Amino acid sequence: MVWKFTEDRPIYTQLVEQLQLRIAMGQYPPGGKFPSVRELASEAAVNPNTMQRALTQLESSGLLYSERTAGRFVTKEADRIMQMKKEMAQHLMTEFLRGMKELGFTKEQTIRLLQQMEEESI
Amino acid sequence: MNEQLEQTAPIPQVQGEHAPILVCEHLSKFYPQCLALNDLSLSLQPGRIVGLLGPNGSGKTTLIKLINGLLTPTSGQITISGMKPGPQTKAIVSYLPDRNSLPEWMTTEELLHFFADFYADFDIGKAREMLQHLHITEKMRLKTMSKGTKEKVQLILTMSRAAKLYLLDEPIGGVDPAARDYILETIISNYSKDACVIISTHLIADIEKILDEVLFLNSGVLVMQSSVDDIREKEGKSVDALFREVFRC
Amino acid sequence: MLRKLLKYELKATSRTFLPMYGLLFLFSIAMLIMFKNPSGTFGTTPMAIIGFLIGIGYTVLVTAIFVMTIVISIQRFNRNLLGHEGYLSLTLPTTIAQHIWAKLLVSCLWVILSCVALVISVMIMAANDNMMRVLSSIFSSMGKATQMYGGSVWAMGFSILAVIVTALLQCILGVYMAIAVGSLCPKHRVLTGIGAYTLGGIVQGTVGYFFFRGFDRATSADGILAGWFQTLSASDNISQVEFDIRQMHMFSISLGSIAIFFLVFCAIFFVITHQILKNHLNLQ
Repeated sequence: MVWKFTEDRPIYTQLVEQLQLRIAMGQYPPGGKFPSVRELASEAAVNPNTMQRALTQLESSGLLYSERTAGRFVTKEADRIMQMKKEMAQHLMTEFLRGMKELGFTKEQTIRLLQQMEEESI
Repeated sequence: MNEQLEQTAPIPQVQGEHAPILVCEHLSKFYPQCLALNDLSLSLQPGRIVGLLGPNGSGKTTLIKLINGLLTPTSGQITISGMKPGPQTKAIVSYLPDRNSLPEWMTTEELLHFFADFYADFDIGKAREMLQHLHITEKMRLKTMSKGTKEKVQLILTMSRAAKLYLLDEPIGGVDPAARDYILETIISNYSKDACVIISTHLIADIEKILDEVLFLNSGVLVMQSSVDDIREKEGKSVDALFREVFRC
Repeated sequence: MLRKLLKYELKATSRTFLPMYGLLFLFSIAMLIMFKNPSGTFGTTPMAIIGFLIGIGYTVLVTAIFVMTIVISIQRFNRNLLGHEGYLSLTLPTTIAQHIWAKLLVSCLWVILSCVALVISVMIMAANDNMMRVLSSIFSSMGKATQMYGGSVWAMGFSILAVIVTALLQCILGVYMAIAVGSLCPKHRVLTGIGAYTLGGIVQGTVGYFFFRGFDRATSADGILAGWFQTLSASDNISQVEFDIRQMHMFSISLGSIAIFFLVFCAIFFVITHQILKNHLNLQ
């Protein structure tokens, strides 16, 4: 998965989002070991302090936890991850609906279009 | 949900408690024709990667030479780890100039021994590994190398030292994108919370993500000292975009 | 640190000099072989041509060694401290003084070695059975002189050596000073350098003139040193040997004072060079 950054927002917030995405997609499974700051910073080509800040944020939001000697791990709690997924889905949906509204579709039309698309893809 | 994220996360506390690596107090450098640096005061903590930005003639090179001991200040003070520039500071400052400064008659191997001889903090094993990774043979004489290879050798030698302060003057100017990625990756993987890295450049877009903070110099004056993320939060644009705005011709 | 600088200075320069010396000795041996036959081996024309070429080659080599010694001294200082390499050299954990000393001592060494190489090559060419006899007679007369005149002979020798060495050091330092001064005007480096060197020479000459006039006046009939001088040069009531010894001491003292004179200028040139490199460095 590629790391994407936009210019107008702080890097650490973008890192938080992208790490969450990776957790949601299962790249870092629940309970699994999380890579070190250095590895991640190298992979994302960002400053280690910035990466550290993002990881600290994830820890304080409960998605990661660290054990003193063993390192960082993804939370084992599946509901926490599901909660995050729901939040991300909410965000996606809000954006989608806003986009559709800008195009001039009502909510009912939008839902019908979605159903149509799904039927066609089966 | 975004609002939750946008709430500023705490910056890790570790760095703030250490003694600063570089302190400039009312530093000025006059030349007969111009005022290169004007009453510059700043302080840099270890564990930071700092961008030194500014248009040509802003005083970046002068500041770097002052840190290196290649120039002496007209007035004001400059200390590195509490010491005035001299042989002792040169032992803890690793400098990558913006031009090739290595003796052409030496082979890579001889250069490795040269650095190991003069710098106690030189890690010859690390240098060898990096050279191997880039397929640079040790028996090659510098004279026979391409410009790009010479630059890589110089970078490897500089980054293989465990210095307290790294001064990189235009490290990615004029290199191909692959080499540039390699250089940035080396800087990141070399990161140490005891050391400070100063990168002087005008190619901001490429290095912005690896910087902790930036120093904007203009006509010898420190116009701004701020963290990259602070700038993005406050201005809603990247440092590169801000720079272009501020220094619009 | 100085030792390390010396090591790399030697490394950088020996790549040029050692092969030249090697070639010189080869040519000397060739000359020896060519001209060993007293009546000349030039019966055959090819031999004559070869002999001629070797002779030319030898002369060229001697000139080359002479020129290179000067050129490399200048080049090392200029290139390694004031050129691109300056960014590396002057950020090494050494003092500026150590840099100057390293270059100075190594340049000095090559001048001396070049002279030694020349002498050896001449000895090779002139090698015959007589040479051993000549050498041994030189050594025995040195021994005899010491017996007769004691330490004063050695004092003379040392004073000659002192003058040569200090003159050499002062020459090289004068060049360094000129290069350093030249670097202050990047647009007219060579001219400024030559100007500085000339000025140094003029100052030295003027000071020297007054110094020796003063010495002369001091030692003449009513001068301050007259008394002491008279005792030294008085020849009555003492043996010939004693008189000779006193003459030798005068010689040693005169030369010694010249050496001190050179030493003073060594110090002046060193300080000027040092200050320019430390506080007015202008790396391009």
